[in-house]
Amino acid sequence: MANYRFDHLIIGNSTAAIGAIEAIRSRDLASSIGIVAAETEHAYSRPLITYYMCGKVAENNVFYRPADFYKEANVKCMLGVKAESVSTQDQTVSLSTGEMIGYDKLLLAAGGAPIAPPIPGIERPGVFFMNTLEDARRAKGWLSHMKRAVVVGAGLTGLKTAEALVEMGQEVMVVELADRVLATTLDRVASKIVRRVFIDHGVDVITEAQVLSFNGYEESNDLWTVTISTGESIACDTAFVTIGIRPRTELVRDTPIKTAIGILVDRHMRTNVENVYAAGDIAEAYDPLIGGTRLVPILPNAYIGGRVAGLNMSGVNAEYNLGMSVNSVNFFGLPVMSAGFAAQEEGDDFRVLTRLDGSNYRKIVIRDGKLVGFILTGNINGAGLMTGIMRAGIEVTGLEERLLNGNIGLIDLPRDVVRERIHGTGRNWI
Amino acid sequence: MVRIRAVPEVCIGCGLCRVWCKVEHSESKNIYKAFKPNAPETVSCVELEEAGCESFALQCRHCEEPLCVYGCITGAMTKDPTTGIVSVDRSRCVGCWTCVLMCPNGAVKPDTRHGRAVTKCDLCRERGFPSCVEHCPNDALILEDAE
Repeated sequence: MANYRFDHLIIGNSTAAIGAIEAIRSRDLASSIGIVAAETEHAYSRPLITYYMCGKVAENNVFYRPADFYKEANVKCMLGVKAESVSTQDQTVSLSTGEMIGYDKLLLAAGGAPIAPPIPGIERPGVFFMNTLEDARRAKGWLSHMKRAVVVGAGLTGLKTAEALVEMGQEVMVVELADRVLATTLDRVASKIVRRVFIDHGVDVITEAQVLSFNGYEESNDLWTVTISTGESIACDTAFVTIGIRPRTELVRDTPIKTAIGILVDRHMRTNVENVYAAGDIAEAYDPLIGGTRLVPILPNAYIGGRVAGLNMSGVNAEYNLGMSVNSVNFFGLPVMSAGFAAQEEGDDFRVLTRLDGSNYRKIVIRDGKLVGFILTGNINGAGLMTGIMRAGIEVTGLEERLLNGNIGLIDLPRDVVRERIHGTGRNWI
Repeated sequence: MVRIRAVPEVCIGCGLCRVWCKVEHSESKNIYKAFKPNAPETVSCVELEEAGCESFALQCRHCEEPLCVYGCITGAMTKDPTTGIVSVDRSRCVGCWTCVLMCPNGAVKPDTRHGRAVTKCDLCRERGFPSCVEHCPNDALILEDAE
């Protein structure tokens, strides 16, 4: 027998959970909502933890919602409690406290765990992940008496970590397995621009290399050097392992809930099992550009996916049509944006047009006359409009030059689109 | 829901909306002072769009499904559940520009004055009534206040 029962039970306490709660509460105030999360923190912004580490954002500004958010939303929080297993048959979740909780609707929003490759020495003091606020807190304390750091993995998290370390006065080296930084979101040209910015700020960037071992001092066990595949041993006192995250699918092991890399959901964020939904980094959701499911572990999609799940859990028929990848990030003042098939090269069905001027790079990717991807560095004029064009599937034939220059306006779009944007309520996006 | 709506049919493209928006968002809030050579930089939250002899002024739609709010990584961008107004808490903005990338109308822009915050139409809440609407000489901007 369940100890409690909730109309809506949410596992996870981050962006997707907040999106779902705000959606549910926009529909009704009476239903019961419970949250179970392994972390003890109030909901915080994961992308801000590197800002917190280097002191750019104070700890009380890391929080994603006000401190009284759960109280105001009448949500029962069980924080610091792990959801051990799910029984879809009985509609219950077993907790690390030994309790069992029943649900009418369940949202799996437990996110991703940092990938920890089996590198010898990865458990040494001085080797960190950058996934939780606690990771950032621990690293911040450690770094106060350290000088040289190695960042393993040049994805978004790795590079934001490297930037934060530079701000903290650390000597930084980045080691990346791929042949370029941000290999999944940028093409070669944009990647080179970003790499240059890091090099200009004193960061060593080594690509096509991996870490073979984290070596420590014999007496203290603390990190001392990192051996990489080029044969070099790099002296350092701190290392960050930021090679990616994997969805926490272990939560649904031994259930009939279908997984691929993440938990598979349909366009209503429903899993294959009745009354069970998933959103955020744990879910593999629909990307309209590829016409299938994929992992897109970014904050906007976590919120929107959570919102769509929450609406459907409340009995509203909402569809997830915004699941494409969109990234905006700033490195040392250089804005870098990418969307859709950003890294795509010319060929097959794709037309690729680019314009390069110093660190201003604009690339558009067109398929069947429609914008399906872009990269903007430096000159980001028209960025939002471009995302809107991509999401709405608007024909861009004849607009290529404007898109490349950044002097595109709403007025350049078809009349029915202009009319809709001026008169519409902005309700149709979800 | 409160927001400003353009009426392209009667817009003459004069750009006074931009001028008055800049005045309202200047330090002095005074048209004689705001554009002096040594006056602090100010910003316009309204964009005048022109193509041939057509024109209209566009600002934040305060969308019912505000993608800028959903994309905001810090929680700085919010939509007031009562008034429906979408606004940004500059002190919490870190300048990642995700909202800029998310706004399908291009109505959220990096604030050129700070480099670490965005700017968007705030409906002149401090002032009480939107300055661009009040000063539009041809009623090409109207304030909608409908349920």
